[in-house]
Amino acid sequence: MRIRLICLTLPMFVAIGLAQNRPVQLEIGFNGEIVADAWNPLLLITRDLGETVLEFRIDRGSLRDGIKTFTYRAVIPGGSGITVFQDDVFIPGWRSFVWSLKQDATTIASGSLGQRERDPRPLDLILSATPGVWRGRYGREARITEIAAASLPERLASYQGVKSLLIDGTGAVPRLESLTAAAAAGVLVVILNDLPSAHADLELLLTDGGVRLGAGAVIGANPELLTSLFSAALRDDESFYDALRSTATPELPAPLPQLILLIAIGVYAVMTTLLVRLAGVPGLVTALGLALVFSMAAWQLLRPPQAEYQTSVSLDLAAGNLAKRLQTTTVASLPEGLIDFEGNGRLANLRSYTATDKDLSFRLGRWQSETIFQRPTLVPALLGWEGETVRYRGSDRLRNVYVKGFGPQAELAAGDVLEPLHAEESTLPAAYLKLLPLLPEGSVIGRAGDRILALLPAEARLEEGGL
Amino acid sequence: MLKLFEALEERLRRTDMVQFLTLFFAVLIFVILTRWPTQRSVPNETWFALSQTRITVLALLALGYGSVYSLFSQRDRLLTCLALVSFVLMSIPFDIATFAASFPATPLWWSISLPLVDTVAFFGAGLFLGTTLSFLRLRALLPLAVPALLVGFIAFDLKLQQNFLNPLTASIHPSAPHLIVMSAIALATGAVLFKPPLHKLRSLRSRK
Repeated sequence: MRIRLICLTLPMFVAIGLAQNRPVQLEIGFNGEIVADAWNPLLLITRDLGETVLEFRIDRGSLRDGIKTFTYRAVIPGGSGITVFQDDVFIPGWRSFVWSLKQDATTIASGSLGQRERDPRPLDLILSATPGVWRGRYGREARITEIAAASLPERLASYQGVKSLLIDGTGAVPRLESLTAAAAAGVLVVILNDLPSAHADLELLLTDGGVRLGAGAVIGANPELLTSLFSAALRDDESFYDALRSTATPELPAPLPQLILLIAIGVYAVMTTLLVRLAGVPGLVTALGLALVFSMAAWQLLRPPQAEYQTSVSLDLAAGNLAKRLQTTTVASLPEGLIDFEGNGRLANLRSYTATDKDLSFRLGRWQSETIFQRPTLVPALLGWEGETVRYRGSDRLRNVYVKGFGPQAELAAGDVLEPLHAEESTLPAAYLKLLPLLPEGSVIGRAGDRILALLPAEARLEEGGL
Repeated sequence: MLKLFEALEERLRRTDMVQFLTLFFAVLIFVILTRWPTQRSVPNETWFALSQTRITVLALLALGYGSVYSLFSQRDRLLTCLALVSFVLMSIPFDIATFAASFPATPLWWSISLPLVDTVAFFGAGLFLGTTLSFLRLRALLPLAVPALLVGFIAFDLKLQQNFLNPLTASIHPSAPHLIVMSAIALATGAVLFKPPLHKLRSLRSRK
């Protein structure tokens, strides 16, 4: 009896043991597909490990620029049982990509990716039990991958490298939060019509067959329309960041006018020379005292009050009560030193830097500046359509209001409603010159302090690129 | 101490010193005005130019005076060296003003103390140069030998890829070897300048 019991239970324990023999599971990107030069989801699962440190070392330099290392480091708390760590990491185009998970000095797991595995093409995700059916509907250059509903993150930044997401109703039901995050990020979420009843919740997102949400859209479509949908152009965050970057330049302190400087140092030089020449020992002592006084005065007058200057500007791409916020911060430093920036982001220029899940740091030379493209986030929309009118829900006054195709409009106070009217074109603010060409016709744009708000037209017109 | 101050003031009041002080200030003012930025976007690099110019002028003055005064009395040598140290102290406001606006990576204490050490050290090197040329009966070459020695120091460092004697590099890039070498020379110079005169030593011995 005892032998029988052992024979019966042994395979069970072996199976459990085998299932638990992988203490570390790391997944970057969707289904292991990493999109270079984009924010990618990161999932790390550890089992029965204490505190560990996950580190990515990515060389994004070139033959001409040399080694430019991006280091990502995250401390994983760990403990007994399963520990799940999720984050979004900007993965730049790499020459070499090495990752490791260390516990003190011991490497628990490590791996690397070669240059050939680098692919900057955005992903087309398929959520289906029969993905092969739909592959032919995509273009030849499409980078298609299947995804499970449970693997869809609920974070906006995860979807920066995703172009479209197709749900045909044959797979598990995805969470609405995931679809909302994807759409707000700029993904074209396509839900096929006539879904099974288990997918009824998704109908909530399909008002009038399709709705804009944040920077993207959720569209209900028939299979025949898929080819034209998937050929739609993707709204590129990089162009928006570049446009924002040009408007956020920190103002450095103005140098003392040369004339004032000349008078001050001239007076000092003449006084010192005269004291030395004419006033004997008291003159010499006074001249030395004068040197001390002028030194202190010069320090007070010429030393700028602060050594580091920062300017931020953000752009909210809004539709359907949600907005995708793209923010850039430019840091200028007068002395050479290490800049610590609270928050997630990446550097605009090719420079070595270190990021964690909370902040990033990099070195700046004297009188140098660097722009940080912060991680896109999901925020409530401050501008929204109410029929043919636009309601402003912010607190600061919205200035430089402009409707593409209509022209400049009146300023808006909190709670004001705007009815777009055709107006004569006037000189556009510098910040808009680069932004307006990136927005579809009918978009509303305005500026409230260091925030630029853009409201996309309510309808998602497929003939204009789907967005 | 007061006597020393009186003697120093007397030395500084002489025409040659006042002329060199005026010329020194004029050079520093010229450098500041030509390098001072007029726009806020332009980095302020004035300190780098001023620091190097200041230390070069001081080194040339110290070498020149040291070599010329090698045959003068010990008191005259000491007073001349102290007068040059006064030049360093009186030019500190120029250094501080440009340092404050330029934000160099060099520490302020280095910018203030290095010219003091280097000036005394170069004065000592000048004494050695003058004595050597006198021994070789080649003092006529002094006007050529003084800048040549400074160039030689710079070339020596460039050859060794080190910074022992080059004041130009040391003024903007702190260097421990330079500080050690120059401090040693400055201490040796101080020992020579403050050493009791030979006749006093002899009289002390005869009294014993």
